[in-house]
Amino acid sequence: MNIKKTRIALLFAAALPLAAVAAPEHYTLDPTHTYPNFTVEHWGLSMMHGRFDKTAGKFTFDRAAKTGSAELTIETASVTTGDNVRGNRPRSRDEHLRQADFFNATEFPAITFKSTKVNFGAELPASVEGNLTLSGVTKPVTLTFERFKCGKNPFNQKDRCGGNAVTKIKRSDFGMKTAIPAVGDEIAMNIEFEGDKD
Amino acid sequence: MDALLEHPAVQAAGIPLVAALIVATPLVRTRFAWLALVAAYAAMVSVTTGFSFVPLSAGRKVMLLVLLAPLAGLALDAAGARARAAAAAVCLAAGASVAWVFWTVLAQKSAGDAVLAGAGLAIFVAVLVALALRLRDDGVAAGAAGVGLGLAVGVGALLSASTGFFNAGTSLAAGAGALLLVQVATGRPRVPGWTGVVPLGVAAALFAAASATIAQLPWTALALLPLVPAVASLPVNPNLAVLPRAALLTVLSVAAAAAPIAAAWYATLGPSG
Repeated sequence: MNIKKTRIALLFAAALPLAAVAAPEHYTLDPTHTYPNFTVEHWGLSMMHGRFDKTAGKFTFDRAAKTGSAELTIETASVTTGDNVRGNRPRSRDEHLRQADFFNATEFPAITFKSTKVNFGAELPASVEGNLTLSGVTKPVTLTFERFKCGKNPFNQKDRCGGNAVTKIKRSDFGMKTAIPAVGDEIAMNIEFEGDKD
Repeated sequence: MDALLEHPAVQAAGIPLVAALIVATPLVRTRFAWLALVAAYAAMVSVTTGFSFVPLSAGRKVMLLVLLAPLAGLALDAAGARARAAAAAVCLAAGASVAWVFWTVLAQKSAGDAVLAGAGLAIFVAVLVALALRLRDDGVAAGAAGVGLGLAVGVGALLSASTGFFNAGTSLAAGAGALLLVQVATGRPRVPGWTGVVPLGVAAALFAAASATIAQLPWTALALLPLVPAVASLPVNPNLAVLPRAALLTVLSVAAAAAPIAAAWYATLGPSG
C-alpha cells in the first residue's frame, strides 16, 4: 500500500513541472512602462510622433498550448505630442487633438484593443489579432511583436514580460478625416509594453 | 487647381459661397432660394470630411439634423402652418433634439450634471431657434443674422479648437452672404419663410452647442450668441432700399457677433486644458 502511495506521489511530483509550464500565465500591464506611440506625416514633410500617457490592460499566454489573449484600454484624453502650452495661440496642438476634429475625447474617452487570436513564434507570441475601437468605430487589426521578451523584475523578482507591438492603421477608417492629406491618413503605431506576472 | 480647392479658406467659405449662389440665383423669385443655406453647408462637407453617418456621433447627428432641417421648413410652408403654433413646435423639437444629439456625452456625466448640461443646451438651442424664426418675413434681416451667426459660431469654434465647426459656421455665413448678395443684386428682398429660418436657426444653434460640448467653446459664448439675431431684428426703416438696409443690418449683426467671439477668445487666456 505504501509503495503504491509513493508511486502515485512520485507521478504527481514528476507531472508538476509540466503542469506549471502548460498553465496560462497572466500579466497585468505596468502603466508606467506601457505607452502607445504613433507616428503621422505632417504636410508631407516630417514624420511627427505622439503618444498616450495613460493605459491599463492585461495579457495572458500559455506557452505549451500556444494560446493567449490581450486587452488594452487607452485614455483618449492622455494624448500628447509635446505641444501642450498655448503660448500666443488660442489652443495648443494637444488640446486640438483631444477635440472633435481628431480623437474626440469627450465623446469617446477610451480607445480599446481586445484580442481575438494570439499567434506564436517558437515559444512566445509573435503577433496578436484583435479589434481596435477608436472614435466609436471597431476594426480588426493585427499587432506584430517586434520584440517580446520575458525575464525577472529586478526589484521584486516577479516574472515580467514586455516588448513592442507595431501596426499601421488608416485614421479615415475610424472616421477621423480632419486635415487629410495635410496631416497624413496612415498612422504607424508602436506600443511599448511591460507587465508583471499576477 | 487641386491646391486651390484644398485651401482651408476656399473650402470653408469660397466653395460654399459659390454653391449658395448657384442654388439661390435661379430660385431668387421663390423662398426656395433659401435652400442655399444648406447647399453651402453641404458643399463644405463634401470637400472636407465627406458625408458619413457611421458611427452616429454627436457631430454627425448635428450634420444629419442640419441637412434635414429644410424639409421641416418646406413642410411648414406647404402646410401654411399657423405662426405661433409652428414656431413653438419647432423650438420644442430643436430643444428636445439636444438629448438625442449629445446623449453619448451627457450619459458619461453624473445624473445631476447631465440634467443641468442637457437642460442648459436645450434652452439655448430653443431660444436661438426662436429668435431666428422671428425673422421669417424679412429676408434681409435673416441674411444679416446668418452672416453674424455664422461668423460668431465659426470664429468661436476656431478659438475653441474645432476646425470642423469653424468650417460649418463659416459656410453658414457664406450661404447667408450669398442670399444677401442675390437680394441686393435684384433689388428685392426675398422672404425666407420657414424654409429659410428653420435651417438657419437649427444650424447656428447646433453648431454652437456642439462646439461647447465636444470642443472648448465656453458657455458664456452661448449665452451671448442670441444677441446676433436679436440685433438683426431691430426695426430698421423698412422703406430703405435693399442695399443700405442689408449693409446696416449686416454691420450690426457682425458687431453683435463680436461679443460671443470675445467670450471665446477670453477663454483661451485661461490655463491650457
